[in-house]
Amino acid sequence: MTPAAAVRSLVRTAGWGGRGRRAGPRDRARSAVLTGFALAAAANLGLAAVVETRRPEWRDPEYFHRQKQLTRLVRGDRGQGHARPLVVVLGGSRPQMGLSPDHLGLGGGPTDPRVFSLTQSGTVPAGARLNAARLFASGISPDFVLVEVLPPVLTDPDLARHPVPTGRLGCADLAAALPYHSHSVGSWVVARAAPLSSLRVPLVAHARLADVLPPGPARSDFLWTDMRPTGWSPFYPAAWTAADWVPRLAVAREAYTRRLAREGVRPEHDRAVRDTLADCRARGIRAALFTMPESAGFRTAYPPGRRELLLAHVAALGRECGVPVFDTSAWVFREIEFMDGHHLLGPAAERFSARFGRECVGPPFAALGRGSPRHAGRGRGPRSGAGRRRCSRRCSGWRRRSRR
Amino acid sequence: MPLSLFASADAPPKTDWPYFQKLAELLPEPFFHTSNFLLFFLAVLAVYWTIPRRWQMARIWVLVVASFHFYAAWSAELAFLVTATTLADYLFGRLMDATDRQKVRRAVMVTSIGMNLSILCYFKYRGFFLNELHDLLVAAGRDPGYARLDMKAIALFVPFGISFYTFEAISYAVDVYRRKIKAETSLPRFLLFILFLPHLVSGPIVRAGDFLTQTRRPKRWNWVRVQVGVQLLLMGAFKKMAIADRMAVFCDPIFHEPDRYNTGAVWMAVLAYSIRIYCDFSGYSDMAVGLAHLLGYKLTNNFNMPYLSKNVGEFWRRWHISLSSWLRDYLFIPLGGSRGSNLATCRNLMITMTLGGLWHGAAWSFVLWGVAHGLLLVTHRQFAAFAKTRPALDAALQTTVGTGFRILLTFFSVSLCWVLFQPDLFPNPQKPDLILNGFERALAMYKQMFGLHMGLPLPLHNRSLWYTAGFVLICHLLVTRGAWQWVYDRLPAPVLGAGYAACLCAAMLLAPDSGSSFIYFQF
Repeated sequence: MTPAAAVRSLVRTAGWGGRGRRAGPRDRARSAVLTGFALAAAANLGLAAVVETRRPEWRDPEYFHRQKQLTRLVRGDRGQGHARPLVVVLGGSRPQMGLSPDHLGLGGGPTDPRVFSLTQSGTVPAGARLNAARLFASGISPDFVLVEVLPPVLTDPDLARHPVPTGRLGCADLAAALPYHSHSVGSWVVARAAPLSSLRVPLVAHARLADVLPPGPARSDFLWTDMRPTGWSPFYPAAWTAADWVPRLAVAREAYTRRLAREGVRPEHDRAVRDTLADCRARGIRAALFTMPESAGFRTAYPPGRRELLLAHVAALGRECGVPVFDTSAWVFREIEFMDGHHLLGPAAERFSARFGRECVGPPFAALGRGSPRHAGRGRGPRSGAGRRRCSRRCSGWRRRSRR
Repeated sequence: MPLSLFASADAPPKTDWPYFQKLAELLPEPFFHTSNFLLFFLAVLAVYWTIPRRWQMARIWVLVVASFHFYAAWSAELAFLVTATTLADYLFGRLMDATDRQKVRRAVMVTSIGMNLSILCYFKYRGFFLNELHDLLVAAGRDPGYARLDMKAIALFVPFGISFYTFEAISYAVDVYRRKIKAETSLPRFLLFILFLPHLVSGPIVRAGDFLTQTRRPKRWNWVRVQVGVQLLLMGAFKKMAIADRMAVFCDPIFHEPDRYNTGAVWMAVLAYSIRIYCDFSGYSDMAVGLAHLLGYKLTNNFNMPYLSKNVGEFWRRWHISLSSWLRDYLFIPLGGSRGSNLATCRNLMITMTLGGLWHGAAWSFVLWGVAHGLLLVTHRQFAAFAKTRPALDAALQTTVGTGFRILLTFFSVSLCWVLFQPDLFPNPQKPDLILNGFERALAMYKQMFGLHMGLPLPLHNRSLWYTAGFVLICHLLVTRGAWQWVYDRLPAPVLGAGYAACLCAAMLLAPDSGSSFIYFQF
């Protein structure tokens, strides 16, 4: 059969013949149903291909809009002939709102470090691991990576099993995400097979229809539309009183009290942090862990002694992996300076960032600016030889298990 | 925040049988618009149509087994209960047919109805009645001797669709007793009549005479029928996902805490709720009828553009048709119907509508909703008689303007009644100030609506609400005027197919970020 004959046959079968044999009601019905399903399947498959290749921000807007912005900044620096060392912050909503790269006080000169907040709300250690892998795969190689650790989620088994919503993952993300994910490839295929449904919220937002067709009681497109050029998403309320923060703090406390009810750090979270640091080391990128401030009210969500235990675990993790740990969780801010006890409002975020830059990351970042950034990170750092070996052994062990 | 005003589809505690536990994982929700159900249904469809036509009984068994599994995925124990009561109804029917002694037949019919109503009352109404009795005795200073029952715990054990299949079983018993139909001799056919999965969850309430005759006809794959089924399925999914769930985003926060919102927002929430409740239930019914068509069965059409009714009587002939016709045939007419005096007819109307309200839910708000509709029907009846004697008034009401006014008045009255149509809520530790009693919440709504109150505006931009209301109105008009049928008959198949694809894609795309369970699921 020639191609033309095949097309003619298909057209006849589908009832698109027009002036040919007049189709009966059954032919018409069959044609309509089959055409409908074929078009719906084509629309979904086409969209799945687009979000995999051209428009990854339609499946994970919060991350990929930031990555695109970062790419633009790096290209701009290169275009101007600047040799600015790149520092990337990975973490969740706490640093996204509370850590301003602009207020770290590191300067904006041609050799000063460029700090970018590649944060994403709801990121747990496995999410940071995934975002680090995405960043490295994009061809951007930072000189320093700051990884936020959120102590109260380290005991959460649910977040350990489902750290990242499956619909956000691309095909290329699977290798980095699945070792930490209890979801199978099958669940990803199901989500990707019907992207019109699984990605409807970002799709509606990107079509600028969110005003007319709100996706729900809470919109989330501000997470990528309201970000500053350095990835920071501050919140400057016009007025802020106890009536605003008290109920929010109560909700946050309730949510984290449930999470903190379990004892012991989940191995999945621990493994994800170690693997992120191991990956950085393998690429010659210096790294550090840090925690964000929590208000006195929020800290009451921890059972007695639990907070100290979790912070000690983070400190031990840093020691074992040979990276510095900047623990700012006890830095004092008033309740009214937080949105809900653990997310800093804009003015407080500015002050926190200035102090963080001065007391924590200033010296190591300054070292980046002085020497060749690529070589400044490799093989250096405060870690001891024994610590490096121990961390490396554990991390490679995790990787072996992951492959299995 | 749960989107549904009503009890969510929380499943009863998990069964101990590993087989049914696995089944529950595969089919976690008994809703037609979920991907798990659609995969399950596709498998059933493939097996069903693969069986040769001459093996009709094998096909029926496939549907019975599939329906049982559909129910058992939600609760295995309750699936066995439903099957056991169906077996008992089958035996009662055979018993009635086996004897000519009228007294025995009557006793068997009463036993069958008693059994079905007892099970319904035990699961659905015992908490309500016992708690009301408890409160009454406490108020009278007597010791009730028992504590108030936990309604949330009771709600978990109410078999889904119990009100629907109870009415089906009752109508079967009465029809056999009246010799309108012969008792079904084939057990699988009778099991299919009650357990048929498209109508098992929330109707339409089918009559044995209509359904059992269909089970005897050999089914043949028919593309026209498939097209009708697919069309209804898509239309139902669109109504549910793109309209009803979207409207829930507008009205649920206000229906939960009406005293926080301003007067305009509460009125708009009532409009959103009217649209939501129609699209939710008619969407479900469309999907049920569509699924049945795909299996070669025809179920009763449950809705016929009810919001274009010119009076409340007409509204009830267009809204939830299978229930209103059931209430007419098995309650209103046996009570005397409209054969007696005017007062007796009004009494019968009030009794029928009050019981109809109670059928919807075990709460005073539903009872009062039924009473309100009874009063509207009585008022309309009196006004119609009054207008008949005044030809000028009658003629004015028949004009286009008069008809428009009547439609608006009917919609307004029905919408006001929907405010009462809300269940009691369960305590929420995160919202201790929530008004739990449905009737008290309705009163708070009315207070906000009919007084000028300041407060929060509508939680979302109201453009979406107006567009949706306009869309629903245009669809009503197009269908009622026959324009849709005219266009449909002339559309080329590929264009029609593109329309189906667009409908499916729109339903997927426009569903809000968290869907809600079907409102009528709890009934």
